[in-house]
Parts: sequence; structure tokens; C-alpha cells
Amino acid sequence: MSEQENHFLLILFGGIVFAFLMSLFVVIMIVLHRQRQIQNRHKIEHLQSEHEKTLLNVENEIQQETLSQIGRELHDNIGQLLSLAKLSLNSSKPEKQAEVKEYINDIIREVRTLSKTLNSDWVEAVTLDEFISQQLVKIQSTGYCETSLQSDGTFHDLKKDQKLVMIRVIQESLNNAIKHALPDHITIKITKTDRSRKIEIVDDGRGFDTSIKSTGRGMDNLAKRMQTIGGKFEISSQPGAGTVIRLELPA
Amino acid sequence: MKQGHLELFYDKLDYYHFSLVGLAFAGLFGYAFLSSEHRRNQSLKLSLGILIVVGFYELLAVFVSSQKIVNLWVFNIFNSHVAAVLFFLLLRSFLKRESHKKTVHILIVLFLLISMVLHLTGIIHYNDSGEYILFLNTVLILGCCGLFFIELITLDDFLNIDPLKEFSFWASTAVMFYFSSSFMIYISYRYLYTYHLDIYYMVWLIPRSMTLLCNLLLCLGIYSPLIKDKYQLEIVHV
Repeated sequence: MSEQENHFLLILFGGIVFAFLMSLFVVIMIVLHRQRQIQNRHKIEHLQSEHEKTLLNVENEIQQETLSQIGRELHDNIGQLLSLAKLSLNSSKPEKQAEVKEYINDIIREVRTLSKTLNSDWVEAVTLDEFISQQLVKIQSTGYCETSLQSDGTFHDLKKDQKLVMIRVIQESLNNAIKHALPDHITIKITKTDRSRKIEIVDDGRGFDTSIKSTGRGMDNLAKRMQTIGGKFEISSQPGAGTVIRLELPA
Repeated sequence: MKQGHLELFYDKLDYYHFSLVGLAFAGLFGYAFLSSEHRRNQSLKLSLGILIVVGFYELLAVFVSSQKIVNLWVFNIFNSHVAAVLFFLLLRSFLKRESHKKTVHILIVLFLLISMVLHLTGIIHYNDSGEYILFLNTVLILGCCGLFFIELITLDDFLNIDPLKEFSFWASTAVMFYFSSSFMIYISYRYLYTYHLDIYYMVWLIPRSMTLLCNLLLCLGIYSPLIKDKYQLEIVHV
């Protein structure tokens, strides 16, 4: 074989190897991209199932909460009114009969209010601001602490699943504040920035050291729930300096 | 212009030049029919720019050569600098990360600065075979292709697309093949021309074919939105 032929074969072989390597590189890129797509699809499926599970749990918890509340209302309020009505019925005095009428009217009003709570679409009917306001009024009326709400109405257009989760997270945060922080005042601030919508639940209770890992999973669960609706959950607190909980959703 | 020179000019034109000029006109024609939204597309504008520049300098090189003047400066200016910068910008238009876009800008400035310094200091001449500049722009352009492929396999923006149907993917692949294969051949030109003229004429076809393929793809990119609008068929997504 002449030197020229050798050169030619070398160039030919080099060119083939080079083209093969380049093609291999492109194929590897496509394969890596496909693998990422598959992983991403699995991740999305997992997130979706997590989201559905969370929603189911939240709905169950809200139902449980509603049933307990109805139980309490029946026992403490309607039951008492019925007992009073029964006692008054035993008397033949005309003013007692008028009282019975009054009691029955009260009972009808209370039952109507309760039936509204039992309606499964109440989440859709109520805005987040209204819900928070009702919760704060309830807390204040029980005498636990003073409450206030500052809102710019930015959460008026929430989707049902987002509203469900937000309601549950706010409910749980308020319960925690009353149970553990013993505050004198709870303030809820609702604000909007260019990128996000925020709810801040601020209490002036005894606070806690956030660097110490809690044994319970309450806070983790709340954070996870916020993640399932594309939101964020943050908590900042110091012993003796109260607690601030921030719930954030994209604008 | 002398009659003999003009005849030589026509004699030197072959299928390669006619194809490149044809592709440039086809690109221009296709671009004229694009919707205003597509006309604003940076990738399409740059594709058209490349088609026109390549068609122009190939004709100019033949013309200069037909005047019995060394035409290497045409390739050094238009191929190694103007077309290279357009390819840089084309690759930049495919990138999504701002930091990567900035990197491409820096690479362009770096390339032009180094080239200027090398020319001004006399290390290289504007009318030589241009291996150093070719080496420099090939390395930098391959780096830009690398940035695109890194984004392809790491960015979430690319997760919902099929790369085999993306203009950016095919154009980056074509640019990568074109520059790397042409570079190897360009740097061996002088040696082959001196010692193995027959092999020189053989490998000479490779960069020509790669240029044609690359320009054909860019032209197809310009026509893709038109074909999609007319026949509801998307060959490549721009």
C-alpha cells in the first residue's frame, strides 16, 4: 500500500470515527433528555397523587371538625334551649308560654345556622377573608384572646382545592397558637406583592426556639400541604417574642 | 471588468454557489411571507442573516479569485468573523438562562478582541489561510453548543418539548457538526494542498457539503412556520 493510500485511509477512518463520536454525543443527549422527561413525569404523577391524598385528608379533617362543632353546638346551645323550653312548657303562666315561643325561635335560628355549616359547598360559598373573620370572632367570643384582621382581599379568587388547604392550615395554625402560645393578641395580615400573596398569622404568645426539632409532625404536615398547592409555609419564633407564620401563594 | 475575467467568474461557479445563492433567495422569499410575529423571532432573523452572508461571501470569493487576486481575505473576514458572530448569536437565541446568554456575549467580545490583537500585532495576516482564527471561533462556538446541550438536559423549560422536533436542537447539532468537521479539514488544507493534492480535492467536499446541509436546515427553519400555517404540519418547531 502506498504512502498516499495510507494517508487517505487514515483520514477516512479518522473521519468515520469522528462522525460516529459526534453522532453518539447527540444520541446520548437525546437519551438523557428522554430519561429526564420520564423522571419528571413520575415526579408529577407522585405529586398529583400526594395532592389528591392531601385534599382528601383535608376534607376529612374539616368534616371531623364540623361534626365536633355540631356536637358541641347541639349539647351546649340547642340542648340547653330545648331544656329551657321544656321547663317553661310545664308552667301554665302566659309569660312562660311567650318565653317558650322565644326559645323555639332561637332554636330554629340556631338549627338554620348549623345546617349551613353542614352544607358540603360551604367552602365554595365562603371567601377566605370571611372564614378567617368567623374564626377570629369565634376565638375572641370564647375569651381566649383579642384578635384582629387586616386584609386587602387578595385571596378572593382562590380555587376550591387551594381554599380547602388554606382553610385547614389557618385553622391548624390558630389552634396551635391558642393551645401552645397562650397569646393576648392574634393578628392576621393578608397582603399582596408583585410575585406572591401572603397571609401572616402573628401572635404575641410565649414563642419557641425554632432551632429545636419538634417531636410532632404538625409543622411539617402544614408545610407539605402548602407545597401541594404550590405555596410556601414559613415559621419564625423566639422564646418570649411571639410567633409569626407566613403562608405564601404565587400571585 | 475584463471579458476574460468575467468568463472565468462564470466558469468557476458550480452547483455549490448556485445552491447557496438559491438558499439565500429562498430564505429571503420565505421570510417575506412570515407573519409579523415570526419575523420578530430572533432565530429566524439570524438564520436569514447567515444564509445571505454565506451566499454573498461565496460569490465574492469566486469573483475576487476570477480577478486573479488571492481571495483568502474574503473567507477570513466573512466566514471566520461575520458568519461566526452570526452563528454565536444564533446559538445565543436558543439559550434560556440569562447567565449563559451573557457568557455567549463575553465569548463574542473575547473572540473579536483576540482576533484584533492577533491581526494588529502581525501574528496573523488577513490574507493567510486563517487556521488560528478558525481554531478560536470553532472552540468558542462548540462551547456555545455545549451550553445549549447542558440547558437541554438540565432546564425544566425543555422538559415539555421533543428535541427531535425543535429547530434549536437541529440547528445546534448542525452547527456543531459543521464547525467541528470543517475545522479539522480547514487546518489540514495547507498540508494536503502541498503534499496530497488529490486527497485535498476529496476532503474539500466535506465542508462544502456541511455548509449546504447547515444552510438547508436554516432555510427549512424559516419555512417551517409557513408550512405549519398552510398545511397544519409542523416539521420543526421554531
